[in-house]
Amino acid sequence: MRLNRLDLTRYGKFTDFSIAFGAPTPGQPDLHIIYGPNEAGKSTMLAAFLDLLFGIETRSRFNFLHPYTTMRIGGSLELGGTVRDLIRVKRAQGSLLDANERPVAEAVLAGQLGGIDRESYRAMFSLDDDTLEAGGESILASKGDLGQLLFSASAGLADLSQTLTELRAEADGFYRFHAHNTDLGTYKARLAALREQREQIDTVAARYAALVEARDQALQQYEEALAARTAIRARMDEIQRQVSALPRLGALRTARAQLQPLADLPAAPAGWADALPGLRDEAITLATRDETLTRELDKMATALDAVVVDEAASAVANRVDRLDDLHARYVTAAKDIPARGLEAREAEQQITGILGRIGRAAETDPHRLVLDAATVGTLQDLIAKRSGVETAAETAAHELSEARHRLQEGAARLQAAGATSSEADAARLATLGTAVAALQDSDHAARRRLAERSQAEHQDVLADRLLALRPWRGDVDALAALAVPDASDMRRWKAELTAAQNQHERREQEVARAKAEQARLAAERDAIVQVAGVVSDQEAAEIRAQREAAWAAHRRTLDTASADAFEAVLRRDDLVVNARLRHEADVARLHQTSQTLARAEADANHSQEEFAKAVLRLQRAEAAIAVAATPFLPGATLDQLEAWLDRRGKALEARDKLKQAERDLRAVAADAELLRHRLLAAMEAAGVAHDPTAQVEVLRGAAQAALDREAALKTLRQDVQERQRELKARERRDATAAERDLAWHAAWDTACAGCWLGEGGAAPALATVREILAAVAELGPALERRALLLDRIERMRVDQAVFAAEVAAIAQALDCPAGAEAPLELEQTIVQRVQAVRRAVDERACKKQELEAARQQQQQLAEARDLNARRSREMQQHFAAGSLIDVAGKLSDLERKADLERQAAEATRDILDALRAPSIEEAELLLQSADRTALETELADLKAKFIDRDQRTRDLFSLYSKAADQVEAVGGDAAVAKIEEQRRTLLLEIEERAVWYLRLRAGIVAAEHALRSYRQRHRSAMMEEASKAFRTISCNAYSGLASQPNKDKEDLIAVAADGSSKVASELSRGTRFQLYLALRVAGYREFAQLRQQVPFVADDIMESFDNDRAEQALRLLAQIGEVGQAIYLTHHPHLCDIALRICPGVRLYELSESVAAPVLRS
Amino acid sequence: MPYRFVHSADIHLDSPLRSLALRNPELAELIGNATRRAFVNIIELCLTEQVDALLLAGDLYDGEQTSMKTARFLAAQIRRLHEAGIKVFIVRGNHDALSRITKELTFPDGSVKVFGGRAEAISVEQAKGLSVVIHGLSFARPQAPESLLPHFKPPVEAAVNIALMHTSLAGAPGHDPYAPCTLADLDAAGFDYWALGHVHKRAVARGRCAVVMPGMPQGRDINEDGAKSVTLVTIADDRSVHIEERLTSIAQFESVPVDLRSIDEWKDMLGAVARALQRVRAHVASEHFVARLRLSGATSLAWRIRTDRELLQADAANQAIDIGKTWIEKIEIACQPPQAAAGPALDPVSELRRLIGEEVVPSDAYQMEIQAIAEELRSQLPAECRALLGSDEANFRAALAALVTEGAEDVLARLHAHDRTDPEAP
Repeated sequence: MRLNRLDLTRYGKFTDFSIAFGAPTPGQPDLHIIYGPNEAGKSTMLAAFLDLLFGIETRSRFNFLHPYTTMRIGGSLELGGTVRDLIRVKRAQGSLLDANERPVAEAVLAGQLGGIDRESYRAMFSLDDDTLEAGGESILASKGDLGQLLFSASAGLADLSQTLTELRAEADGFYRFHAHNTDLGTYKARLAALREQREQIDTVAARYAALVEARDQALQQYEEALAARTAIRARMDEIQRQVSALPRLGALRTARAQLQPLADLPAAPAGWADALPGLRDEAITLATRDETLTRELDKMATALDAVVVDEAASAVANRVDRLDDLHARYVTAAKDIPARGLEAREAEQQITGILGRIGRAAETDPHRLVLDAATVGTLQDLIAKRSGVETAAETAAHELSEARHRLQEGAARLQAAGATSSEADAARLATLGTAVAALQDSDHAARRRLAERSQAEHQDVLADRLLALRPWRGDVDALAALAVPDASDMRRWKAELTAAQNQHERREQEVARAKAEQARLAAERDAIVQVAGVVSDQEAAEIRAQREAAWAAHRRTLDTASADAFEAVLRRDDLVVNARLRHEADVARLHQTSQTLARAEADANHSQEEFAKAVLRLQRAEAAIAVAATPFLPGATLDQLEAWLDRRGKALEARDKLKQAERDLRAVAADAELLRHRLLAAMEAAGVAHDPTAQVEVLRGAAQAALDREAALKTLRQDVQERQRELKARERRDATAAERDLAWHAAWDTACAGCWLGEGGAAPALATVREILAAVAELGPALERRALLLDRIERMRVDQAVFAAEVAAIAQALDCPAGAEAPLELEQTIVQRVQAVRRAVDERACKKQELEAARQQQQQLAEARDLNARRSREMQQHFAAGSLIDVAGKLSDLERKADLERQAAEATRDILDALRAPSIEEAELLLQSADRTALETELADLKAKFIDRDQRTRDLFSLYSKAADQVEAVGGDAAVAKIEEQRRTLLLEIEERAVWYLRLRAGIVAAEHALRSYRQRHRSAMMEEASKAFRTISCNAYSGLASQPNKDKEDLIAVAADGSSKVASELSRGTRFQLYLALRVAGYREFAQLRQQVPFVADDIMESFDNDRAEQALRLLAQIGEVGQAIYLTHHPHLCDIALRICPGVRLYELSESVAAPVLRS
Repeated sequence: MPYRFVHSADIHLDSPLRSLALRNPELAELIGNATRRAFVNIIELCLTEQVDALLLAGDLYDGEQTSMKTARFLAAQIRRLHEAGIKVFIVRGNHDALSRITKELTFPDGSVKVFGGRAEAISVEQAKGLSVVIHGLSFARPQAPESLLPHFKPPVEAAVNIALMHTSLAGAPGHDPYAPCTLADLDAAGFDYWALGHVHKRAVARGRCAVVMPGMPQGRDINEDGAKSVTLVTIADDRSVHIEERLTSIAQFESVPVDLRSIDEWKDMLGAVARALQRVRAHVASEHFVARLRLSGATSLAWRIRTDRELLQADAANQAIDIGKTWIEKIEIACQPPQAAAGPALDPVSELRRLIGEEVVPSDAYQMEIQAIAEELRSQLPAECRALLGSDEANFRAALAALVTEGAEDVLARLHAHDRTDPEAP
């Protein structure tokens, strides 16, 4: 990675600040020195660089000018061969943007940083005094070994050990010596729990065998007890049966004795005993009924013969039935005829009335008078139209007279208005109208007012501004003509003045610093001389010269005096030499101090000269400005001059505006005159009377009046024309109305002539016809109604005659006297006779039926009596009995015999059941020998024993039951197998975890060993690198670095050139800082080799370095610049000079507050 | 009338399955007690096929099996056969030779014949024609270093002779021989059908007679992989022997190799796993398929597979669930990063790997440290797990060496994951 440009767009004190580092020059170290005094913003730039790479810090302190929301930095970075412009804003996320403001993944940068984080970068490659020291201290104070620290930070693997520790903790989670809460412990507890669970529900084979044996034993005992109990129970049952059989033997014997006499009785067919009483009763009933029936038959025959029938009446019965319809019509006619006759007369009267109304009372054929529908329609239509025709004619006549009147009125008004003007006049007046309109549209009046006001205002302003230019005096044109310095002169003077002032200040500081340094060194030299009595080189040389002179003198003279003198000088020299030998180190220091002092004096002199030059430059610049200002502002400074020129500019501006206002005023006056001339010409042409000298406004009034008069005349002429057109229209409408009236009268005459209305010659009047039409409309219906009624009366009279004829004919057939009886009475007589004959016929048929039924009954009765007699004879023959009474006795004996036989069989069966004997004979034999008393005694004894045995059996069964249940309870379920399966799975899990644990531990241990080895190797390479760097920086005062194990840490030791050694913590501050820098340089090389090249940035870390060592340190930076990019920020100008000297390719930048971008100085 | 029987052996009733897959309670419920279910399958087969007999050639249960619940279950199942009029012939194997629970069992009278230490030949009367004699001999001890064949009664003339024997046949290296004999001896002995037991993998040899090792009816771990079955035998009236294999296993263990060469994306790897599982699943006859994945091949995912082992396990399990009735019991990893040896020499992790291989592992100090760790752990493990790293010194060292290699890879993977600077990596 390389930083090509850094933009501080809005960051800290900077706004739109940018520093470009340009492309590296091949073959030259990529080293950049940025020079800037205090407060110039060097630290800000360092922070901005880190913020660009890693994001603006959450609580950044660079928000004092630009708030967080607007903070923005940017830069152009070379990332892996490509150049990218990136922008960083302050945001929680997506704060890295590309040139198009689109978010860019942090990875773009992270990938180029070799995994190093902000803190590591700061501690290793982005140094200032603080980080240099803090990082270095932590290296020295570290309890770990030095190699690890260097290695970790530079290789970006700082967390490897951490990862290994985490893995170790992970492994410990499974098992750790003597630890309790491990997974392994949990697993073991679960195993134990499963074992216990299994033991609770499982039955092993041995226990099962014991259970089975206990069960079998209980079963055997139970079965024995049960057998004994059963034996007792059997004997008890036997005794009980014998005792109960004894009474049954007695019953058997009694039955046998009673059966003896009934042995010979023949058996009777089933049902006889039940049938016998019925047979006897039936014979008696049948005889009685036969007698009664014979008597009734005789009576019925007699009654049948007594019924008589009227044959004549019977013959006409059907004809009489048909009379009903004729009868009904006869009766209706008698009621209806008078009513209908009345209605017929009413209709007749109505017709007569109508004829009278229409004046035709004598009309013989009223039907002729009824008018057809077409004629009636035509007449009614004409009647309806009549009034419309009349109204139209009247209206047309009225409107015509009105129109004539109005035309006369209009013509009179036009005449009165003086109708002399013509079309030509109108054309001239149109030209005049245009001129008046142009005058109205013109804005010259308003413009004149504005121009006058503007003129006055600008005169005032100009006067004020001229006053402000004093002490200069003169008019405005003189002012404009004055020669003054231009803008480029001003800029040049300003830059020169600023540069001269800056130089002046800086040189002044340098002089002060050089003098202070000079004083300090002189004091240091004096201190060495005074405190230690050291003789300076110069002094020693003088003494040595004196000694040589004395020796020469002595050689020449060889006398005592010369010898003494020589001795004195020799001794003094010895003393000096001895002292110098004794204080060899001090002498060296003195020597060094003297040299340094000499250099400081030279520096001071140089600074003094530079300062003097700067003063001169400043004075020259100020003098040049004063000369330029003399003509108008004698003795002015640059600022005053600038202000006066500004005021002059404003005065000239006011003059320009005043001139403009005057120009406007003149233009307005010209416009007004032009318009007036145009109006005068138009009035002349139109012949309008006017005063040619009058004001333009007066002229305009006269012209307007002429225009208005012409407009009024035009309106009146148009009105007369309109009224003439209206009169013609009214005349046309009146003629049309007259035509329509004539047409109506012709149609009316035609309609009346087509019917009887026109019979008298002339057509009747409209009102007459309207009345006739109404009356004739009623005449038709009245005629129809009369004809209908007369027809109905005739038909009813015919019905009455038919009925009377039929009744008379029937009466004759019955030999009835027809006489004068009315048909209705005669009909009544006939109907009564027919009804009587019908009743007689019905009675005779009924009696015949009854007689037949009685004869059939008699027949059935005879058959029943025959059957009854046959059955009685059969029974008597079977028992050889004389009567049915005897038969009944025999049947009763048979019944008793069956009963006794049943009793005997029952007794036999009971005895056999009780004794379980094969035959009754054996049973009788056994019972004969049984002693009832002895048996009952034995039974009582046995009952007591049985109760005892029964209880024992129950107890034993309960025991057996329990034992059997226990065996059954073992069951064949899979509960134990399931637990075993869980246990097996658990064991597998333990094994898996154990293998995992061992694998992890083996891996961790291997990695730890390897890591140590790795560090050892890389550390030695880095130590060498660091030694070399330290040797260089210390100007070979130290030959290098070594480390020495000290308990569990390592001490870093600096080895001096003379072979002596010092623990790093005991070195002076400056040397220690040099050591720290050397370590960083070594780390940078290692990092760049293993990972990436990143910019190495440092901010004035050489404060405590002397010039020689600073020079060497800069050499190292230049070497870094050969590998990557090195940027050094400083406020020491001498460092810039040194850098230029040792590395001509270095690029120097000067940072100053008043310059927007740094200047490349080299 | 043909004579039909079912021949099985090595039931190992109630011997638990040995798979970490059972950590999943759902699966434990589905395939737990698999040996019982397989045995029920055998009984059902006998009943459906209405065979004449069931022949069990030893190892009904493990020797250490002491729960009477196992025996009661066995008895209950055999009673079902009794009720259907099916006879059972049993010889004991090395496992159940001394079993106490057998002694305590009572089988229904006349239905079950358990052959003792003296050879017997039981004649089975058939309604029509075919006369069948069943021979059997149990050895009363878990060891039977000599062949039992000479002790059998000679085959009966004119009858079908079926013999039951528990034998390791020629034996397998690393296993104790049990009643050793050769196929040729058996073939020459004049029997019609040898109903063998002891070897858990099915094998059928047809020569003059049929020699059948039916294998176990339900495998218990990955070493007993494949579909497991029993043999349904029909001996026709003409004495020809017809053999059918019938599946009995509820669950089936299978190794599933997955080659991850040229796979660089996690989801592609899951796709490869799913495809491999589906491929094997298509041939798995048992209802449940318990898979052991073996990932191999050079892939850039090698580091991640090691560091995200648990995620891998979960993802693979999901793939298996999608396939249906498929379960992952373990994932073995034999992947390495592509060109691991030729990595950039300056990459610290690569250098660590080289140092581990070349300097650390061969060093005595390291070996002693690891051995001490292993021994300490071993002493703390439950007794059943003590043989975890092998029973003798040589095995122990070999096991440890393997652990060291794997462990170093795992830890390097973790360091690599930490050190990873590739921002795109998850």
